[in-house]
Order: sequence, then C-alpha cells, then structure tokens
Amino acid sequence: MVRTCLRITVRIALLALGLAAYTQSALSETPEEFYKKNNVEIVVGFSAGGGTDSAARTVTAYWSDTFGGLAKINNMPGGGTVVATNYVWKAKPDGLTLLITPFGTSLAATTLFGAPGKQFDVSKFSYIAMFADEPPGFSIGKDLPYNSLEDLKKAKGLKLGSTSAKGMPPFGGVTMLHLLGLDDGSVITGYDSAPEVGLAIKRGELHGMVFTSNSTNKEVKKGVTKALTTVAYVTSPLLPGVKPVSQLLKLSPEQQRILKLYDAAFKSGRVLLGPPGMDPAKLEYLRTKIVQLFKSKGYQSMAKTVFGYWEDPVVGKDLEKLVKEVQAMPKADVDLMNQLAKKYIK
Amino acid sequence: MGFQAIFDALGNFANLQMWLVIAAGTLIGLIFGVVPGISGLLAITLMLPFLYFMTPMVALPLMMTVMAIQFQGGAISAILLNLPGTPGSSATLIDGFPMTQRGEGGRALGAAQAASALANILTALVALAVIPLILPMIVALRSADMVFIILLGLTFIGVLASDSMIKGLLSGGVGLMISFVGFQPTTGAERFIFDNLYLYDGIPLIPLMLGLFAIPEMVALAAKGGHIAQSRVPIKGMADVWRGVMDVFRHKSLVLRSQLIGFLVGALPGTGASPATFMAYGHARQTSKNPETFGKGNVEGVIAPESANNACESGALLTTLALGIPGSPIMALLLGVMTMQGLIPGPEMLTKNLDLSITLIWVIAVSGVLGIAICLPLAPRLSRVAFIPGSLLAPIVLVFALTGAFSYHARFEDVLVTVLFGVIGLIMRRLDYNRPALLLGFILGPIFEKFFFIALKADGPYFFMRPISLALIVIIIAVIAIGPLKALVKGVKSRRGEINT
Repeated sequence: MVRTCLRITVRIALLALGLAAYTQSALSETPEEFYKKNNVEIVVGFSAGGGTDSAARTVTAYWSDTFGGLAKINNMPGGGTVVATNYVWKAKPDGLTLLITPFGTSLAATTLFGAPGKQFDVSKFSYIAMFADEPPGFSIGKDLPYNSLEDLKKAKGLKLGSTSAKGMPPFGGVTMLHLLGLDDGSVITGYDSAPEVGLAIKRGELHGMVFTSNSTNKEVKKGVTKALTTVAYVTSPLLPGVKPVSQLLKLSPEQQRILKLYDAAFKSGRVLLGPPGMDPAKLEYLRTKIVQLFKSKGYQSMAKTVFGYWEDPVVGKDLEKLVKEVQAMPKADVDLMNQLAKKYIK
Repeated sequence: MGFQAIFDALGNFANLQMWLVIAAGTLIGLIFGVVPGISGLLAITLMLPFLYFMTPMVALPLMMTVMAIQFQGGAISAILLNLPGTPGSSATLIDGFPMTQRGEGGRALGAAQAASALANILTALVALAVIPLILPMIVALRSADMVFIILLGLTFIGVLASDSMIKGLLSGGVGLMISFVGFQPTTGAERFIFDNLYLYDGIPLIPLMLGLFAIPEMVALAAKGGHIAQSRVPIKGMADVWRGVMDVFRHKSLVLRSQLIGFLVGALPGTGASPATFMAYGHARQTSKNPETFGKGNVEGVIAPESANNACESGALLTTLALGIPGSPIMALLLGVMTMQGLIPGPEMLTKNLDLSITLIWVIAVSGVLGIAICLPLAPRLSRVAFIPGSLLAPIVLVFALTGAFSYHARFEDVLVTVLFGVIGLIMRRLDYNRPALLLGFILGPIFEKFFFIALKADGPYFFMRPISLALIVIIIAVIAIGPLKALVKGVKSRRGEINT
C-alpha cells in the first residue's frame, strides 16, 4: 500500500517536473524564437484583390524574411470590416492572430459614427504599425472649365461620386463641398470602385471625386480627371504640385473643425494590430521588426509598385496617439459632420 | 491595333512554359469549376501568394486559363447533379438536368462543352477586332441606360415563368425581395438586418444557389429511390456526346447570338456572368421553334447559357484591361495581381503592353481547345452518374453542397442559409414554383437597384429621357410583346386554317 502510494507520488512529481520544465521553456522562449517557430494569421476584412488585401500581401510577402515563420492571409469580408475586426478583438492574444485594416473606415469612423454589430473598443487593441497612408486627393473632370478651387466655388450643382455611403470617399466629398461652400452640390454614392467613378466622370454623369492619392493619380494618368488639391494638411508624393486644401482655401473656424475631423478620422493608412492584452515583449518585438520589414529593399520596391510610393510607417506609441486623438474629437463636430452628410449625400 | 502585335503575342506560345502554364490552369479551373461552391475565384485566391512572384507572362495567363475554363467544369455538375459549380452555370441546369433525367446527360455535356469551347475561341478572336468599337460604347452608356439593360434582363423572369405566369412572377418577386436584405450602399440604409451582422452584406449567392437547386433534387431523389435518369435508356457513350457537339453546330445562329449577348453584357462594368446567362437563356426560349420544351430538357437551353457565360469573361477582360474596371470578382483579382506586377490597367494595356493583352486573349482561345480535349473524352463516363443509385448519390452530393457552402467564406451561417433555401426550394419544387425565376430576381435585384438610384440622383426623375434609354425601352416593350404577338398570329392563322377547311 505504502509502496503504491510512493510510486504514485513519484509519478505525479515527475509529471509536475516535466510540466514545469515545459512551461519554463515556453516562458523563456524569446519573441524571436516564437515568431521563427510559429506561423501568423493576418485577417483582412475585404475579399482578395482589393486595395487593403494587396497592402496586406505586400507585408506577408516579406514576413518570413524578417520573422522566420510564415504569415497567411485570411480574407474575412463582411459588415464593412466589422466582422474581421470583431474576430481579432475576440482572438486569443497569443500574437499569432493579427489584423490589417484601414485606419479611417474601419477604426476611426466606426468609433465616431458607430457601426452595426461593432463589438470592439479601439483604445484597447495592441497596435503595431500603420503603413501606406496617403492623403485623399480631390479631382474633377479634365474637361471641366475649372482650374482651381476658387474657380470651382462658382460651380452650380457639382456632383461628386463615391463608393459606399460610409467611409473616406463620401465623407471626403462632403468635406470638400462644405469647404467650397457649394450648398447645391451632392455626393452620389453606390459605385463599385474608383475607376467606375472615373468612368462616370468621363461620360459626364459626375463632375469629380475624392479618393486616395493612388486612385486619384491613376485617373489623372488615364486622362480622366485633373487633381486640384489633397483633402488634408499635407501634400501627397503621388500628386506632385498639388497643394493641400488647408493652404488653398481660407477656412472659417467651422470649416476648420470639419477638415480636422475628416483628416483625423478618415486616414487611408492600413493598420497592423493584434487583440487586446498581447504580451508586451512580443508586441515590442513585432513593432521593432515590422519597421525592419518596411525598410527592407524588397518591401520598398514592392510598395512603390503597388502604392506608387513608400514612406516611413507610423509605429507603436505614435499610432496609439492617433487613435486617442480620434477618440478625443468633440461630439459637436461629429454631429456637424453627420448633419453635412445628410445634406450632401443624396 | 497592328497585326504585328497579334503575331508578337502568338510568339509567346512558342515556348513550352506557356503551354505548361495553360495546361496547369486548365486542370485547376476544371477541378474548381466542377466542385460546387469553390469556383475559379477560390482557386485564384489560393494561388495569389505565388502569383505575385511570378512574371506577368506566367501569372496572368495562368489566371486567365482558370477563369476561362471554370465554366466548362461548372457545367458538368450543373447538368449531371443540378448543382451549379459556378454562379455562371446556374442557367445551364434549367434544361441540362432534365436532359440528364431523361438519360441524355452525355448529349447535354457534349453540347455544353462544345458551346463553351466555341465561345472561348470565337469571342477571343472577336475581342481582338472589336476593342476600338466596344470602348466608346461602354463610355457612352450612363447609369440611366444601365437601368434599362438590367430591366431587359428582369423581363426574362416573365419568359422563365411562361409555363405558369403568376407563380413565375411571384418567384421572381420573392427573389428581388431577398436581394434587398442588407446594407444598401447607395442610400446607406440597413434593411432587414435585425441587428445581425451576417445579414449586413445580404444573403450570399452561392449558399442560396446550392440550397435552392441541389438540396431539393437530392432529397427528392433519396425519397423517391432509383436514380437520376428516370428511365433506363441505353447509354451510347461517345455517340451521345457527339450528338450534343453536333447540336451546337446545328444551332449556329443561337450560338452566335448568345455569345454576342454574353460578350456585350460581360463588357458592361458591374454586371457579371449570371445575368448574361439568363438573358441568353431567355432569348433562346423566346426565339426557339419549341419554346414549350424549355425547362424540360431542350438542348438549346444548355447551348445558350454556356455560350454566354464563356463569352462574358472575354468581354469582362476587355473592360478590365482597357478601363481598369473589373466586371467580375475574378477580374478584381486580376487587377490586384496586375497592380502587384506594376502593370497599370487602362490605355497603357492597349499601347505599351498590347502584346500582353493580346496574349491573354489568345490564352482564352487556347484554353477553350484544351478544355474540350479533356472534357469530351471524359463525358461518357461522367454521364453515368445519372445511373448511380440515389441512396448512394444523394448523401454524397448533399455533403458536397454543404461543404461547398462552408468553403465559400468559412462561415457556419452560410451552411444554415443553404439548408434554409434547401427547404424553400423543396417547397417550391413540390408546389411547382419557379426556382430559376427566384434566382434571376435575386441576381439582378441589387444591380438594378444600384443603377436606378444612381440614375435618379445623377439625372433626376426624367433620367430615361435619353436616346439610348428610350431605344432600350422600345426593345423591352418588344421583348414583352413578342410572346403574346406570336400567340396572336398563331391563333389568327389557326382560325383561318379552320375557316379554310
């Protein structure tokens, strides 16, 4: 009896020791070893082939060169990125499930303007980096008799085209119409893509559009539109010679508030983030190494092909600061933007 | 376009690598086309990480082959099992499956494969010639005109429903209503969502299609016993298949007209293959000498949609390359890969990269030939599926349908939707309601709504007062009137005959 008890005790002790040793080895595993050994799932809230999907694939293409393990894209379209963002919000914070999503449409706009089914709190995600951020460009039909924003103030019934009724392009249109003081202007939504809006401009159905600099640049190159400004405080490397709207127009305090809100809430940059509560060591490691990835020659060359340019990413704390700025936006400004959207989005 | 560019493009076929790429793409496209739910779109999505690192002359022809050949695979499961392998094959099953039930699966397969291959070859050749004509046409069409083009498609609900007009129109109306579920991008309205995020993007097409067609047939088969073929007709093997091939050549005019419909609708941005196949099917039924046999296994009902769906992709390729506007989800992927490869869709594809554009068009033609070379010899064996006992076949097909629904977006809700529409399909089958009419309403509803709202906002309530729109309205009236007029003329003739005798 005693011998049996002893035998069982020894076995339990050995098992405990084994478990402790395993746990110790797992705990002492450095983030470097962890990401070398494990593959990462990067969730994208759009179908394959679109802008954000392409952006994510530029990252996964160079992931193994930087981290050792592989990164696999999981396209999870639905609810205007809400499905994918909810999924990562609820994922195990082991650092193996990450999300690449547009800062503006997915994180900031859903926070400020709400979204059905949203379960996440943007302040709690583990932010790694934001890349491929391009200020939106405002362009109008090439043959229209307006060559500056001042000219455009005289326009009657200006019609700007957009994709969905939510997001960066329609609110960009709303912002531009408000800054130009064109009360009879309208934003017509429902087109499938920027090139489709470009085609509608070409056939005279629309007059102009607000899209990412990259999309604007493509329509300018096709000879469909001419770029007049960036709807931002900065210029875009993709639209050389085009000044930001903040420099071109004398804005009233109310107009300044709207531009500030739009600039903060509708950034086109793609954010790489993890679920809340990620191990700080792993998060720091991801932040450091992702910069290395973005600065690698291979990535830069691919980014220039895909986005037309390359810029330093916004990393870690700086990105968290941008999120906080969005959350601190005055409610009165958000309400005003909503009122303007109701006025202009037909 | 210079002849030099056409011959330069042909020169790309002088190396073995190109042929290997097309052969690999043909096999992948056929396999992914046959299996329901996992169309060529999924095949290309899975290949994306590799495509980015291939040269454009390998990656783009590989994608084109998969895209062009998937319908040839999709037709097989549509005809034999009432399971549309791809959305573009959904009109094929209306007459293809009854042919299988009649023991003519081999003939239907032969007709489908020959029509598909011929569409790939002919429209590729036509595409080269019509580039300068088609682009001004696309630019000239405003959203207002698109409203009437889609409305023309919707009138075919009436054609599909001609056996029982009330039930058909009701089915089409229900299809339209189901299509209105979800977030409406033009108005920003959320409709019938019930705070359920899954419904935000609407009811997905593939699970609905699998449920509506595959489940009722298989449940009925399992309940009834026996096999799909209702009579033990002798299988003539290759002779049946050749009969189907010859049917295509007997209906040359229908083939050409259906290809034209497919090509033009495919070239219009934002429409896709499904409307084109239904338009071609409706047109075939209207112009047939035996419209009453449609839906009961008329080979013309297989030839028309199979000619149209393949032609559609040639048209969509033109719009994608020349205007950078994807006509279908696969074309969106093609655009993505082109962007990654540093190729800018638009005028440059017709000037600086013309040889690549023409190579892609040639690839469609070559893959059509390869596809038929693989499918035709297999067709006699495949058609024996119709004689597998239902007790064995039904569980296998049901598992395929449900896994196909799940593999669509890896969501359990999609499986539930498939089951739900399986029950609806079963009820509709029992009460003799028109399932294709419901599908057509469901497919065309969102496209009609999109262009209608845009036209209304951009051009106001009199948006239809444009020459092209008015011409289209006249065509719609003619399409609606043609049936009653035919009946009237027939009635007058028969009355005269009675008087004379």
